[in-house]
Amino acid sequence: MSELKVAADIKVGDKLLGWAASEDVRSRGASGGLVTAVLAAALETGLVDRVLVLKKVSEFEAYPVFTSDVQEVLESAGSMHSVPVNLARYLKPETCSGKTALPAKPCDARAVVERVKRNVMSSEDTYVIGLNCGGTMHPEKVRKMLETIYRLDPEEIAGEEIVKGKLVFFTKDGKEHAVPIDDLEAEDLGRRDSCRYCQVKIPTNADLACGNWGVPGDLAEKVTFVEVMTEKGVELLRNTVSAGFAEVMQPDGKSISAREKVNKVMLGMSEKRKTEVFAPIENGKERFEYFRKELENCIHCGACKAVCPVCTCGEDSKCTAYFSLADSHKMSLFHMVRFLHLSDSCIGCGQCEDVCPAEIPLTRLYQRFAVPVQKEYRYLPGMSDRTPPFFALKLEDNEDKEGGGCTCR
Amino acid sequence: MQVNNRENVYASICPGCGLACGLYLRETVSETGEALVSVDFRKSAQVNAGKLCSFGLKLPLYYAEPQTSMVKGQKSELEAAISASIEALKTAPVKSLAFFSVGNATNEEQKAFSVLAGAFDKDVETGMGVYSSLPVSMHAALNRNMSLEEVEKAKQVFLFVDPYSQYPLLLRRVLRAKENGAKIVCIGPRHLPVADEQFCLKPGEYGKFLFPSQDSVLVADIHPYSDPEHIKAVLELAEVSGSKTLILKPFANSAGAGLLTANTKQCTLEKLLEGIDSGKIKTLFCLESDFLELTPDREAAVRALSKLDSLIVQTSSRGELSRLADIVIASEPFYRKQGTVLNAEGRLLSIGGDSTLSFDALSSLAAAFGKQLDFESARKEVFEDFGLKKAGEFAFRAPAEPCSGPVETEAPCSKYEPGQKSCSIFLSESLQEYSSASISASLVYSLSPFMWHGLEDENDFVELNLRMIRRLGLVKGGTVKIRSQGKIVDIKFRVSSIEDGYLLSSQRLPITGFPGVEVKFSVR
Repeated sequence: MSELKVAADIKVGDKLLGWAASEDVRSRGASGGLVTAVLAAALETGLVDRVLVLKKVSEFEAYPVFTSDVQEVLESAGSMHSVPVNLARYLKPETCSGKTALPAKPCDARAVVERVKRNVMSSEDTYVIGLNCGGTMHPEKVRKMLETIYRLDPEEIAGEEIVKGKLVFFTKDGKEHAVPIDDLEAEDLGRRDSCRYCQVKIPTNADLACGNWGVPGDLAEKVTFVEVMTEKGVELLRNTVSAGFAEVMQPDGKSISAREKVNKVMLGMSEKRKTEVFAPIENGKERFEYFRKELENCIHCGACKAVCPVCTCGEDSKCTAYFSLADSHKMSLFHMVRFLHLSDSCIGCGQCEDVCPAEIPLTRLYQRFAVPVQKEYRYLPGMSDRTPPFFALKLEDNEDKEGGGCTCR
Repeated sequence: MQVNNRENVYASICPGCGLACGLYLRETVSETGEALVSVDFRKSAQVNAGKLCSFGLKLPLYYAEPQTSMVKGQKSELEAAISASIEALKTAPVKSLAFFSVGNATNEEQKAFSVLAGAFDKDVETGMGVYSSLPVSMHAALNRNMSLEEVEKAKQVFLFVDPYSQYPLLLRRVLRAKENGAKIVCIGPRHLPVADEQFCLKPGEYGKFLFPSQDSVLVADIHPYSDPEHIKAVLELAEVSGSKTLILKPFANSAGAGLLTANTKQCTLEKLLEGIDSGKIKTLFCLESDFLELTPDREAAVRALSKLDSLIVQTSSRGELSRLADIVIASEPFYRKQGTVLNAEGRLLSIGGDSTLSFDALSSLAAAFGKQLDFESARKEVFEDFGLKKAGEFAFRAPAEPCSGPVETEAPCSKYEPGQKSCSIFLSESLQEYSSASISASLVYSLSPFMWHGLEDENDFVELNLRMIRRLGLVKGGTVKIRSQGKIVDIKFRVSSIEDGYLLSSQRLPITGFPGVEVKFSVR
């Protein structure tokens, strides 16, 4: 085992193993509680004014809160794969006064980046602690799989974890119950649809990219792998270590390559799924009919817009301004405008699909529209501060592009 | 800069309809005490899995104006409003009193309200006159319900409601049933995308055209405008076929209010209004029920209410009824209430708040007339009444009491005379009686949560089918003139896929009395 690293030696590009110094935090948090320690230290030392975390109600229920209370941060510890909330949506001008830190799955971190581009919040004042993510689950499906596959009473669940491709539930009697995620997904259970084709598993766009991938077997559940991505990440981790909230050390090369390998495998699975889900519809009429048919049950509640973390238009938005319930178009202008508007910003987080009362596969529709555009301009939203192509594009930039017309197949 | 606003998060439910969807309400209280409410998705809620309709998303508007207590048009303390109410009730002739609560209050409040009404030997009116129009033996069937999950497992779903506009969170259950192979049969003038078969039928025709089986679910609703013949026909169809019924209701606690007032004679809204207009009712006490929003003819209702000696309104929201009231007892917003509602599935749900302000006001009123009821006792009685043992969100179902005896039907549906014409045929014939510039149609209201709660939506248009629009020579972007009972309204229209001879409206039109009337159109 290598020596502990001192705070002053932490720098951008570091790949480390870390854990909370406090036994209490280690027991509450996942993988040694490093993320909880980073958040608690940031608050305790005044590096940030507030932290945005999920306040736990039960294993399947939590809601986002801003807090300055370290105790509340400690209580929020632990992975919550069954609470698929995108925290970035809560970062708004009225909530973003002062410095804020938040834990972030890749889609949270991507949404933060897109919101910064749209001047909703300041990048300097936001500290993003990324968490690697193989996917989250909708609580409704979790309940269903507990009842039908695991044969467990949801009320008896004390915790859950994803370990080596299996979803493990811990019951209050201390037992573990594991089922391969592949088996769950074969029954249309398991991860949310959008997670299954998500293209970012390690949030290298965050200030720190943390998680259990790459942790050696003997340290599993005891430490977190952390990648220092930015100067703010350095600031966060140095602050945590120097305040005595956590310890870090250098991993060996095997751990680093194991992390890369897990990421590659996960991305490969996503790519395969993406190819299946987004098989091109070459015929224009068929493509239109596909979109029309999928949207025919829309009740125009606006939930997809309300929940969208990259939509920053507020009440005064184009999708609603050019839409009226009195219209009788085959496909509403609300959706048409949103397809266009999100084509260079949709991060595929799946929130719209989660809340749609008509269960329209909206993320698939937005992604089907957006991915070809994003591919054409080699632009993956939320991964860098690059200006979105529609804002950056000059006419001559498109001269070398093949043909014209819509590429959204 | 430090933010000093206090944020309270309530894991609550939507008051929009009888499904009682789960949601979070974030109440941001500024340093000055002003509360701003926003809605958030509660994905763990079993009823709706976090999904909300447009009413749910517009709840901040519903909660925008908190109520203040008033006596004779002047702001007052709550205690003063309670005292004034006691005085008004004491001085009123007992015969002329009426107590009205449709199901926007908690079960515990409803219980306390019943106790108060009982002090005068009165029952609480819920506006569900349909109960009294049906044989008593059918009442149990109206209160016996099933979970939304069961709809998904049905082999056939017969929809007598429009899930797209009336009960939007039913839609996903129907879509899932269809995905599971169920046949979806829709009954109504609007052609629904989910329908495998669509009928526009009169109640007497259900038995002739609809063939549910034991694996079928019939989904209908009862509300203050319900046609007893329709409800009777649906229940008879269920009885004959052995299929299950899901009877939806328009208010969050309609089911609770219905069960708590079971076995009492209920008036229709129309009869209640007549009673007020004729002077038979001189003092009306409305609990969380806006009489004006409920009655279709607002002008007539305002005229009638002005004849009352005393109008006492206990409510959390401001509206025209509060302005007309002699006494307003302000209650806390719905999400802050402690207590329960029974949703249309028969699931007992906690509202999520911790305030008993409104209950306490009712309790004080009852105490003034010699009836004592504390919150815990009321809560206990509610559980006993519903046959439930403990509080919680997911566990409970309404008692499934079997019908106590044979259904007192007229003829079973299957015995209806053959050869009856469906509405569409009848109406298409009637259309020919009019010139192209003036045709008649039946007005059908799409009774959405917006309409029941008087909240403005963007549905400022009526719906007609293309054939009718062409016959009238209407042009895009124009308006249509609708006449009924000597009144005229000029309104925007939309082309919709609906039956010939029907006019659909999602907002009340100031031209009609109670629904079902014939209206005439003409070009502007």
